Amino acid sequence: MNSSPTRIGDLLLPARREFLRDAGLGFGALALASLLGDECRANTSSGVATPASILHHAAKAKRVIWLFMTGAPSHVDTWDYKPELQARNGQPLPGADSQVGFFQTSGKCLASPFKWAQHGQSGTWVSDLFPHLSKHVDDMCFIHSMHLRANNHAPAAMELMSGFSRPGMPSMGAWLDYGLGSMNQDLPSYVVMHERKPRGDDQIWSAGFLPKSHQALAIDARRPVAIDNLALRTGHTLDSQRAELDLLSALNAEHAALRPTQADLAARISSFELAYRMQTAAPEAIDLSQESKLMHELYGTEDPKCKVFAKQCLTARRLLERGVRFIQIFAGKNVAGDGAVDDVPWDGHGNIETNHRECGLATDRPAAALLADLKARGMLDDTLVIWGGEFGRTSDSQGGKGRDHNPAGFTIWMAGGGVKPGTHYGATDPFGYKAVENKVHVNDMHATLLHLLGIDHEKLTYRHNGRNFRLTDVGGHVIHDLIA
Amino acid sequence: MHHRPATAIRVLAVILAVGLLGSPRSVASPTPEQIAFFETKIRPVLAKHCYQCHSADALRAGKLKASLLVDSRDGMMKGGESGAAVVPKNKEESLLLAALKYDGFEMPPAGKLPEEVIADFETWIDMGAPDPRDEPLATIDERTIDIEEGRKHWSYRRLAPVWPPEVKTAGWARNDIDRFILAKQEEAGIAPAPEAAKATLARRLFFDLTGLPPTPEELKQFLDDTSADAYEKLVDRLLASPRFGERWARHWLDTVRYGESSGYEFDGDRPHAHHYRDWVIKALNGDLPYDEFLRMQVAGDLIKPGDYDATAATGFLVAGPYPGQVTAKTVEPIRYDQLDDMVATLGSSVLGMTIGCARCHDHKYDPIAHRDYYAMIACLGKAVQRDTGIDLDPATTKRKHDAWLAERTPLAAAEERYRREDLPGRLARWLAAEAPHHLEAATWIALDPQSLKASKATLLKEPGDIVAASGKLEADDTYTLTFHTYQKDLRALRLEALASPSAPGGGPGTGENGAFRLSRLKIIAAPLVAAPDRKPVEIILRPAAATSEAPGYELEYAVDSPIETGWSVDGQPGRDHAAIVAFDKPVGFDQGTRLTVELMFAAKQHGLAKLRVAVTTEPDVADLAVAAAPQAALELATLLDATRAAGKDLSDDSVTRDLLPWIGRFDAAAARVQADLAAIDAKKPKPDLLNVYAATNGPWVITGNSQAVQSGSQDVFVLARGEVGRKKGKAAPGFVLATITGDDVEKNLLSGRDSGPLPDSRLGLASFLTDVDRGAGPLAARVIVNRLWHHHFGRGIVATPNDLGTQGDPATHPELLEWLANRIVEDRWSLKSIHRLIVTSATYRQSGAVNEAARAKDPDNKLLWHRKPTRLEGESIRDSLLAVAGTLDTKMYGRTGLDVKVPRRSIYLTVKRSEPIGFLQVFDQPEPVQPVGARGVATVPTQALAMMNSPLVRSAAEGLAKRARTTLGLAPTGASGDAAIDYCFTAALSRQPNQTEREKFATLLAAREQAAGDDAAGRQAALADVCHLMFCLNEFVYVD
Repeated sequence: MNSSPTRIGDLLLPARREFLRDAGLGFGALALASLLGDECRANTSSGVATPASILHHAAKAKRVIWLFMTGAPSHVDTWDYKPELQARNGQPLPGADSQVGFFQTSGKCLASPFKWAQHGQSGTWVSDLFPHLSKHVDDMCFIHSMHLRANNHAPAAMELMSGFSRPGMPSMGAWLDYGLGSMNQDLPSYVVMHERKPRGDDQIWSAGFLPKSHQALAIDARRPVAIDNLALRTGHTLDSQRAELDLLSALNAEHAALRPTQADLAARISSFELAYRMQTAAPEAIDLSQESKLMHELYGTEDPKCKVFAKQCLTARRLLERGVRFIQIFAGKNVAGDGAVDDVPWDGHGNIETNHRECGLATDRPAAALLADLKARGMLDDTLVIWGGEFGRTSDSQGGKGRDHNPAGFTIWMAGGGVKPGTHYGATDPFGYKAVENKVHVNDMHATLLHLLGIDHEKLTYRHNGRNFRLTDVGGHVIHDLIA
Repeated sequence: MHHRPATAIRVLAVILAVGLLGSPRSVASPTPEQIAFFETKIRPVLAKHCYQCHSADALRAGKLKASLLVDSRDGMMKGGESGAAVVPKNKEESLLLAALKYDGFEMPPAGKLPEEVIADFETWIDMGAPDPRDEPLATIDERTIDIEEGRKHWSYRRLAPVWPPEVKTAGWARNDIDRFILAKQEEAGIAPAPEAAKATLARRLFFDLTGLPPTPEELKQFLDDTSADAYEKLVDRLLASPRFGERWARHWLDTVRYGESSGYEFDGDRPHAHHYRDWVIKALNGDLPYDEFLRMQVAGDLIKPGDYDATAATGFLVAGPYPGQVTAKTVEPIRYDQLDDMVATLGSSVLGMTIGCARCHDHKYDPIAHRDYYAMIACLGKAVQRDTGIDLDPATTKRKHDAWLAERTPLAAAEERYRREDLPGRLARWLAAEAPHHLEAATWIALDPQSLKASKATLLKEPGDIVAASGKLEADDTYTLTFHTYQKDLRALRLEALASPSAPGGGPGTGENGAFRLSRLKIIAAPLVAAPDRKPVEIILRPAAATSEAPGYELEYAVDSPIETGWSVDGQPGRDHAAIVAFDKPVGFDQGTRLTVELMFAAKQHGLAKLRVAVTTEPDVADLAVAAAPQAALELATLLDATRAAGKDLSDDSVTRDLLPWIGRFDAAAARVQADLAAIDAKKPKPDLLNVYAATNGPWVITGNSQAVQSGSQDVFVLARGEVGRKKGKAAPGFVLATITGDDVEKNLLSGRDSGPLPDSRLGLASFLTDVDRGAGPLAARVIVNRLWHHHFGRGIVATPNDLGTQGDPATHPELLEWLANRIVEDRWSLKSIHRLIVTSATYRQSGAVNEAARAKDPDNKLLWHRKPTRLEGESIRDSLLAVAGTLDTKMYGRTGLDVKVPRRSIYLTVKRSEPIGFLQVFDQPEPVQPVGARGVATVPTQALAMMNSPLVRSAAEGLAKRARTTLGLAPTGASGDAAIDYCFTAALSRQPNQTEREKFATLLAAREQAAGDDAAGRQAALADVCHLMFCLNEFVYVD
């Protein structure tokens, strides 16, 4: 809808009220209610959000799931086939640049140890790391020319999430919750799943300087209790709690009536009701026992090689169905070996072959299952799936068989959510060393993602320490070639 | 500005060159074809897409961007802020091309040009960028910021005297603050709210000044005090409470992004960082003058070296998040990021300025030049983070040292006496009778260790120059042995790995089957007596021989660098082995050599149970088995020869000192005097040092992930666009010019009393910040009084406490702010005096009563016509729960950890950047990453979940219930009744419940107690349920 005069970071008051009414009492709305202070009361009467009312233009995607390949997969061993690199194994890498990489590399080409073949109608080259995902290449939209500034895991992950390679800036999921509000009444909008926390920890999915209401709910695959404080205290029942809440509401209402200038008091009364509902809604949303055996098999939740990521992907699909807008799964490590570190599994410094083989096994089947499942449910049309890591890896070898970090060029792919299926955009040089054609900076990628979600990236702003900040900072161009 | 002279010189050079030689860059004139190419393919594109912002016309119209002119050849060559736009025949370096390709820059901004146009530019650059446009380059005045104009911004001016306005309403104002507030209200035609009830005031004041609710006893004491100054007495009592500093330090910690870990990857702990927090608490409790408070944080280590408080204060500079993994490629950008963090924090917290915005270019709105940014970070250029050891009790240290010295003196005298009186005779006897026997020729010289150290095992000397390992015989150990020798021409070293019946596998290794693997053998030779031509060297080793080598673990793997491999013997537990490594050239310094032998056993492999080290001066020795001769006799002989050759004798003190250790092998008396002295020296008292994470001057060593990387220098360079790769010359220390009275002030503030430069520009920075007459003192004063106001009222006079620049909110009461700023300077920067003024004002003491007329006129309460309820911070909520439960531990200071169950005040919980404390985070605790002046207050269901279900709140409810029943002396199975409800309610909410409230809680309590029956625990839980619900009330977290 182009009719609304609203810019999200600079909302006109009537539009703010309209938004609140429309957005119900999701997390975003509550936060706005408190942000708006005296000017606005939270409206408790409406239903599920219709974010269209605050969009800058029609959205092609309603939700996003980002499969983050923690540790940074090598593009030249996965999706970016380079015959020249294969042919010149051990020979000097033309254009070897001492500034690329994080440690020291040899300057000599390392051919990919994997077998490559073309797949699908698009004839996309894929290495044999992905026997399952390679069946979906015609749904994928590849960007082969990604590049960013940071050359180590934590700063790069922050740059990918927030546009800045330092902590303290809001991540994309928080921006979306701030800009679009929630699509559901009793779950958070922004969910992160991890096993071992990736390097950079909570700083990666921070809400930064945005109100805390936009922060992610992090679900730790290692913990038996996924979400804090959801369980009723011992001896308590929903009924006994209901009785208490009724008493609480009555007393709080009397208190609030005497203090009409503090609007947060009303919001807080509502927040207890929402919390009460979350106690049942959230456990239901992440309860995989409600999924069929077929589903479990499709994702591979029993397969020891990939079960952690499989459970995360299946949980994510349930959350997406229930109106969670932005999910990020940080792929953990399933199989021990190769000296790869738990918090950065794809980090194949020592041996790209053994490391990537294991990481492929850990992620391939569940990711492919998610694509198939979303498609079968008709959700892929408005769900944007993103696959990628912090950066790529060097075309030259490190220590003989490994590869170092390479932020100068790498590949990510997207699927669904309004991107052009079966396409390839941008390119690295013939060795896969640096992006050279149609280079896509992380700001451009963010601008494009926001565009798909109906947001003009230049208008989504938040004022902080004297400046209007954007997800895309002072850069970013929407890449229309990626959009269907 | 800094690059202005350079520009002038450059322009001059160009003019000269043009005049004398013609255009300097048109050595080969463009061909007509090339000119045609330019005119058809290049010029039209530039004119259409670029001239609007990058031409002389744009310059005249004030629309020039990035100081880049592309409407002349020289303009293209010179380029803009980032460097040359076009470098002929060099596409890589031509930024124009990068910009067209949207690589780094993105030009034109309206959209990328077609590929074929970009290809034309590539062709053109390849052909040498022929360009017939000879127009002279327009001169750009790069100083786009008018500093004089900037100095007129209200917050950068000198302090101006202000008098409280006249007011019409008599009797309301209690102090001058009220006159400012009332005057504005009268102007708007509204009236203030009446004074709040005493109980309300008590709760407000307790939370505001101490972050805790009044205890029922404290509340009663105040309510019972009917004297006219009861309120003022309470204010004084609370300002003097240690709880005051704990409360207000937390506000300051928000503004300085305080954390106790490094953030980024690994988030390494800073176990000594909490001293800064403790110092802030102490400083605020002691009402340290604010100017001193600032100076100590910026330069305490330089102002009072070795002082605990001054050192701890500098934790301010280095509290930011730093990357945990650093390589040579990242050390420099990381260092500039650190400086950026320091200056941005300093700007926001102390000056209310967004200095960080000037890192890449002049500030877009405020008069802060790019140059100012680099001048400021140049002041900080030497400051690095370090754990500084502080002696908290130097007097005791001195006393202990004196006592030790008294004990040592006679022993030193005995040793000296031996050397003077006994040694000559003993040596003569030794030479005559014993030396011939000991000086048999031997291939190997067994070395007698001077020191032994292992990272895990305990190494001890055994007879026969054997070193034996005991204690923790674990894998991944490193042994470091040192030896002294006066031999020269050392050619090889033999390491004997000896069987050891006491070792688990019988030796020679400490592993299960006597296994070991020597991952790396490293030998360093250093001179015993330093001289310019004697430099320590790591000896290059060559594997020469070994008794046994396991396949794949040959000796050569012990002398290469990877530690994953190494030398192992092939089985054979319980047998002696040996290996020889030859030196690439003969080793041995004049006046003796210290050999440091490092044996590393890595990759989960074991070390040696027993070993012996020998050296030889003979070349090509491969003899693994022959016995080695002890070194003492040989060293004595060598030393005596050297003494004679040098024309010295035994009257020379240094000669006898050198000889004594070796004669000790043959003479008990010599050994004893030496041992006595060594024993006392080993007992030399060390000062009891406390490590404090602080700033200090030093090289840029950045440690992370066990690697230390050092950058080349401490020089700070001006960086074009903030990029490390684009250095524009060294930055001179200085300040933000708009905040000083004239450009000469920089030099004055950076000079000492004698007009010479200060030893460190950081000292100049410290005086700049607080200098009211010439420096940023007025600004610092305005910023801090506004912060205090913000925390007392929930909103500052300027609502953006970190930004008093042009983009900050306008002040609601500018005169009042000015008056308060003057006041704090007059009151010798006493913060408590400002606190007292504010909280004793009638403005502060208003009730929350809503006057609808006032509300209609001023819905935001900007004129402060009533008191709006404010929500407690997460820390106060948690602290209140603990206090009300009666479990709060009021112990002050120190490191507490992350366990939220430890019942200390929340300010003492460790701030680990990757693991925020859930309960505090959910209640808007800011990320400790950037300065935060005003916390957000969001209302989210996770807060409600925490209040309803978290163990923290439940245990507090149980604590209060227990306290009530105990205090009221209730029988375990008896009913609690209204008295218990009243007790709990008053403790939680600082007032008695009204009738409705009492009845509602009583009904719930009765139902729960009835359900519990005679079960004592159930009865207790019933009252706890009621307490729990009281904690969930809005009134518990919103203070009127």
